[in-house]
Amino acid sequence: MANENEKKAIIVEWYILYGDSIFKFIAMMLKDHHKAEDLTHETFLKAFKYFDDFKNNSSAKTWLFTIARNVSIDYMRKRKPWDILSNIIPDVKNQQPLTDEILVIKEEKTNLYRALANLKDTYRQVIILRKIKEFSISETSIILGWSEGKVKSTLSRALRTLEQELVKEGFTDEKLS
Amino acid sequence: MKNYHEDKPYLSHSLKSLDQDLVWNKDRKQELERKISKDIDKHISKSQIRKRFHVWVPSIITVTLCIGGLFFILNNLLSEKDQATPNVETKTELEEPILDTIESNSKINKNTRELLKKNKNEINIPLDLHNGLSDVIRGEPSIRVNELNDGLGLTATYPIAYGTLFVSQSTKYPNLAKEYNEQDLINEMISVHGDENITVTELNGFTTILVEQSSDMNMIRIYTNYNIYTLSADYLDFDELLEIAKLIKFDNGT
Repeated sequence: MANENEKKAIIVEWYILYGDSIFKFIAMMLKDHHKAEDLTHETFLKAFKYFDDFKNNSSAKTWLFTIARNVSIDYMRKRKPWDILSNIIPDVKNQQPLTDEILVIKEEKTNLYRALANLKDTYRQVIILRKIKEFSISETSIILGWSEGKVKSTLSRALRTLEQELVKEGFTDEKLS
Repeated sequence: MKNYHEDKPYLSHSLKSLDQDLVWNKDRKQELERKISKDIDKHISKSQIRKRFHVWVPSIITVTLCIGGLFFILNNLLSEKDQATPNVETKTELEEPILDTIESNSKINKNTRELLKKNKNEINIPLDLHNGLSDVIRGEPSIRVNELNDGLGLTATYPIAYGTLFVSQSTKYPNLAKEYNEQDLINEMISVHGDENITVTELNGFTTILVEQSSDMNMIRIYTNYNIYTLSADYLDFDELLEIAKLIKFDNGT
């Protein structure tokens, strides 16, 4: 079993390898870049604290994404009442800029980013993991805690909904296909 | 049935490349790495203190009880033999550890060493925490000592993982209990640190005030009848400071 300093070295190594990807995953999940940094921090601290629970059944990357997904879901659950309020007051919801000093998005991708942000949480999660992060169905099912069948069916519905959102944003059906 | 994304190559490609088209500020990424590293160190430091206390304190208590038991038996035997010469040798033996600690500390100068030796019977704070808590405390303390009108002012400053642990003893206020009531002491601390940062508790029956000085620094102050003890440290919580405070040789208040 690794001692504390060895664990720390491994976690720092994982941060160098996967920190960027984890941060972007959380940022896309939350649409709040400041909070995404806080939760990335929390993800790696949790990985350190619960390091002994990592059994190598999955890859380190999959395990870290599972933690990141759980801390994000916890945060979103706590934030729910505020989301309801911001839906009633639309201006509040739109205060978060797409690009800021933390995260810069290429201009041609802003529509896609915005359309993704408009999807419901489960659709967004499965698209990010399968299509953006390119996890396998099996890995995605581990991270989300779903069956593989649910991953496939939800992904299919999620992609259709994303396509509709993109059309709303001004994309033509021809360009998408 | 065809895979959905095979039908939509543009969408599939756009999604795949979205990750590369999001750019996280490099400085902020590095800053977060430092923060994670620092917070892991804090976590390690805290868990080592807890582990050490779990092992060290019971061992000390056991050894102390054994020595106490032996001392009691020896004392009884000696007093049966000759009641006129009971304690002299034993007292010298008990003083030796503090003298050894003073002699072995490489950070103190000759004058301080002489002052400490002269006042060895008045020293109540531990000067050798680095031996028992070597994982947490990173070396021997710097010691400052002043002879005051009515006693001693003594400060031991230990290097720890992040910053310092400060342990002090002052007999500046003799017969403190008679001059101040508990509420005066609390009010004095509230006036300096604010009501919201103060918690009052007890340690060994003595009034103990916990002060949250900042998010990273806590202080505890213990008022006994003849001494004021202060402990403060970066990144140690109150439970950890109180565990260290339990190692103080409290005056009995008589």
